[in-house]
Amino acid sequence: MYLILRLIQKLVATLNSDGTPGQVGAGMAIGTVFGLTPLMNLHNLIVLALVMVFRVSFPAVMLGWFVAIPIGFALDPAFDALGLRMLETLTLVPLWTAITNAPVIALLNLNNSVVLGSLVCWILALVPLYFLMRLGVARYRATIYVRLQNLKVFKAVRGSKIYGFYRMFRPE
Amino acid sequence: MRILRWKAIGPFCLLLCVLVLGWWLFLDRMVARSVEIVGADLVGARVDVESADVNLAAGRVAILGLQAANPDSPMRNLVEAEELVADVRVGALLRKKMVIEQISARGVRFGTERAESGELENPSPESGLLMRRISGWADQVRIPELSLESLGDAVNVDAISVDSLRTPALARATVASADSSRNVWEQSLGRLDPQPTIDSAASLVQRLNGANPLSLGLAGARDLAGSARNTLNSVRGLENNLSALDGTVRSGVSLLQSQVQQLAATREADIRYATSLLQLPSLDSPDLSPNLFGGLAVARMERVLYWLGQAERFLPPGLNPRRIAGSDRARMAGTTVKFPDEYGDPDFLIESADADLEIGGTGGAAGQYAARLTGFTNQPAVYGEPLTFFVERTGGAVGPSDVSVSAFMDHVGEDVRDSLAARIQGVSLPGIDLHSLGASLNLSDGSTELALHRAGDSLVGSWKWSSSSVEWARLSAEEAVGSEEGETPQVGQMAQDFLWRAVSGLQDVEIEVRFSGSVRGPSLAIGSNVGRAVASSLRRELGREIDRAEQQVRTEVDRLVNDQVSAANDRVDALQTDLESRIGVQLSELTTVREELERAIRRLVPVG
Repeated sequence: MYLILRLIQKLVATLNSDGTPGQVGAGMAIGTVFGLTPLMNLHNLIVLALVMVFRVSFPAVMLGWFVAIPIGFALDPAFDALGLRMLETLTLVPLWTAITNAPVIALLNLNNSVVLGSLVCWILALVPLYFLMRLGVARYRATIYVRLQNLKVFKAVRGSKIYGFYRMFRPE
Repeated sequence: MRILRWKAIGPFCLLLCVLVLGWWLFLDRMVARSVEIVGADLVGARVDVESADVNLAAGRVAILGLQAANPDSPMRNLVEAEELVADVRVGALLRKKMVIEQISARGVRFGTERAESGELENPSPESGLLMRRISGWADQVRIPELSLESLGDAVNVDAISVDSLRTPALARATVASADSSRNVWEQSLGRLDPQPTIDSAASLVQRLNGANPLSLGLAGARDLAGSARNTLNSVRGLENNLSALDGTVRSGVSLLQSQVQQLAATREADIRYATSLLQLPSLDSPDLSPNLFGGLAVARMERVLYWLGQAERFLPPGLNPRRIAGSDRARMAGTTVKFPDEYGDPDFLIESADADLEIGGTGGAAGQYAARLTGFTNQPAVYGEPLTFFVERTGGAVGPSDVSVSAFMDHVGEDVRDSLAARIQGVSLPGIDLHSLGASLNLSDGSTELALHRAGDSLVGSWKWSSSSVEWARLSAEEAVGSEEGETPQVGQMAQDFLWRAVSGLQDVEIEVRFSGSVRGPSLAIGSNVGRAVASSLRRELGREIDRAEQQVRTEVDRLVNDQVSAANDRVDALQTDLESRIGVQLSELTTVREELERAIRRLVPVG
């Protein structure tokens, strides 16, 4: 129950934060990396560090992550095919040899077809995703949020202590 | 607007600390689990690790309580080690490589019993593929059967069906060919019909011989000579055609005769086939070892081929990228492609390993051993040095008097070169049930030697077992039943008795399996003094019985095929004596009349 409540809070906090739609959209676009690419990889730790240190809407990142999880699972075969194609391209073999044998970079697992394919797809989709998310958030605030903000449940969630914790990561 | 979120630095550092703490807490378990996974893939059976102790600061990893199950016998361990201590090159870990500079082992034991089965629930697909390939080879190896059950029984020749023999069919085909050829050649001869031409030419010769050029005059002589030349041309043409037909008939008859000769060989093959229906033991071979020890040889070779295949799989030659399945995870595992760096370290390397092994107990293998391994790597071309392995016995009051195992595996280049030499003396050799003899052979303490050389795809070697203190025991009726359920006893009491007499006196036994050919399917040659003794005994005691049975089969086959074979012989003989001689006679007459005609023309119109 606690987890569900926390999840709802994240969603509410994200969509209705004081951040601009652009900030929320950027956070969501960046957050999709955790859903699109295999989670337990070094590149995700790097992205997480950047998200926490720089002023990116953290709840938006979380929301982007949750939204992208099923998409990531569904697109795994495509990521696998793309990654394998890239890894088996003869002209790129020297590049992969250098990358997969370089200190620390080798730990990124870029020689795995799903990791490489999904990461490349995420990088390519990052900018289009940002614009798409920004537009979506703006539309949401202009239409749906206006109707929801007076609901008691909504107010209760916003007033909880946990919400306060998340405010810490909200853009100012 | 400020870019950095200073307030989040603290929680982020906290998160990092939690991650590092978790990694540190679970690193030992992760290492142990990794050894289990990689080891299971390498061995083809479960590998269990009690615990691991990782000290990265000192570059030291200790594996405690390692057990690798035997894939052939899941309730036993292939090897068990109390402790393995490895000195690891820490810098290589940042490149995701495991370089072990030195590893030492303590408390290594072999063949210990396991508390639970070491069979893998989900063996790796590559191991399964290798096993299927080897099983396919084993299924193709033909082990001749030694069956004595029909001896002493009345030979049932009714089981031999004329339809199952090839000779009658071949004889009928020969008869049909002869008849068909005769028709064709008769028609050709009829079309040529040389007799009228011969008669006409003969009468012309008479006229020419009787003609006087002076009375004919110049014009008359010229006309007569012209007419004679026309006839001569006609005779020559006919002679050529008849000569061609003669050649065709002779070659056709020759072909039919070769078919008739082939009937004799086919008849012998039919006799062998019919004899095989009676399952009589063949006494042609001086050595029946393949019949007796074929199964043992194939089973041992399956293991040799398995480990050679595993070695090729884990020590692949060359520098080409290599695809392997990605790590298991909730998401799709994908494919991981390894890109060897010619100038870097291999992904996995044990530069040097030393172990003092002790096999306890009072068995033949008990004693102290020293082992040394160098250059064990999954990327030999990157490491650039071959793998070497050496084990020798260093002490012990009981057990083998001499143990020496050495291996050399050069997978640096594209052409794999492996060699293995193992010699163990005084070891307890396993017992062998010889169902076809109704006896079991316990080799007791003996020696075994294995020598193997592989170059590229070709493999050559031998495996030899010898003992000078063997023990023989008779199998009970139930035990004499073959190892496969439902197989019937193959040895009658009479045969069992004299075979027992033949082998039970043997105290020195040698079994040698030689293998050569492709590493994917080598051929086997099996030799043993037991096989030679059994063959000799069979010849001595069963020769007359087998000869009698074979003679009965031969008589029956002869009875079934004689009519057809005789018919084929007669047809071909008739062709040769009738048609061939007829054509020959007419050809001879044509030649004679042509020569007479030529002489008569020359006399009528002298040349020049």
